[in-house]
Amino acid sequence: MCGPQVAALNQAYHDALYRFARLFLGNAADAEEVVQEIYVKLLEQRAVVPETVSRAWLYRVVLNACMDFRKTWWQRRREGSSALMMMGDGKRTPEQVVLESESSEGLRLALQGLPRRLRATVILRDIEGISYEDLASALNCSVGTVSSRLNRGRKILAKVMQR
Amino acid sequence: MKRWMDHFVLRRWLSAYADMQLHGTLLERVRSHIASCGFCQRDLVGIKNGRDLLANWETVHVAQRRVDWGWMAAAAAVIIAVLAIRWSPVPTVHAMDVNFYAAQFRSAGYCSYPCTSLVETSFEAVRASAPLALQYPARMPSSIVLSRVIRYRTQQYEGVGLLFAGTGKRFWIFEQPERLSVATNSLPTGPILICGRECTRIECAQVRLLNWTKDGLSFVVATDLEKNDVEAIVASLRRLKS
Repeated sequence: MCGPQVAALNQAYHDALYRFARLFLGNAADAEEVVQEIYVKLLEQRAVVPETVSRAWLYRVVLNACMDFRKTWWQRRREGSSALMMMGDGKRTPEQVVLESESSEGLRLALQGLPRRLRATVILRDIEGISYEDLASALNCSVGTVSSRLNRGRKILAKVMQR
Repeated sequence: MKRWMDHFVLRRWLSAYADMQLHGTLLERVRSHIASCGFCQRDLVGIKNGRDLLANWETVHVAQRRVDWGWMAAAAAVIIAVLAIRWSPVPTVHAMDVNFYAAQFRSAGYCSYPCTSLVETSFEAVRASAPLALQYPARMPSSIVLSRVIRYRTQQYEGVGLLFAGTGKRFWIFEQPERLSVATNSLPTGPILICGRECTRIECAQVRLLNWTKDGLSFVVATDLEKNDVEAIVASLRRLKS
């Protein structure tokens, strides 16, 4: 992709992609790094770009980049062995942390505690408002799988926030 | 036995059912199964609760540093593109993305393309320096009050959004210049008559969206109110006197 094309993508989608990466990774600095790396890849023509770039395709690229980012040894060390453990500080259980937090912070932590496939589905649908068909395309799965992932993700969030 | 078979086949569709994404036979099958299945009824409540938690959540605002050579190159490309557009004899197309209105309905408070800025303001401030000849509803269902006012801009135009809310119901009315049209993003649309006005209904998940133009303005309504309430409000729209 040439510079003006990447610039147009940046102008059209940057905020949405950055927001998704930030919610998915739970960290602004990591999200910046991931989204920036995508633009650099596009500029350096290291990514295979379809003829018409859709929002669903871009979300898939960001999701894959987020997953790859988590795969590096340094990130794994930072993340810990379980996603839900991120919510605890070693002395308190994740549930206690949620109880003690403001509801908004609790919800953010609960979202971070979701398994990553459920987290991606829930963020894209309930926060970004992506259609089921686009979600299926972005996540490379069927519409039924999108619905069942939403079932699980939403139920976990409701349960954690109820405690 | 059949009921249990149905249960395992149909329970995966509960979220799609809650989001009104099912149609035809599948919708009927899921609906009738839920009516007779206590597990799915409980699950559906949990699913809706989880969804509503996120829908009402104030999401993070985007603000970040963009400094390095890659971004410098991208910025230079943007400047070149903008200059090229300015000098180009081809007029630029301006249409607000329908996701912008749906996002505001879900309390997102952020811009979607091609909105370039969004600010919270007060009714008094907007009235004092109205960017356009605003219209205001003289009638509103009891207990629904004006609770939020925004001004949003594209490169050329400016619009105003008024949120009326109460008792769990929301009625957003966005007013913008007629020349700033609404891009429906391939969502299904259809005609609908509201108080004798020919409006466009946009089939968007989780929110009813209506669009019409009148008196040089383009109106977009995003609401979960019933049609008769919407009609009463739209019928009472009056030009605001400064």
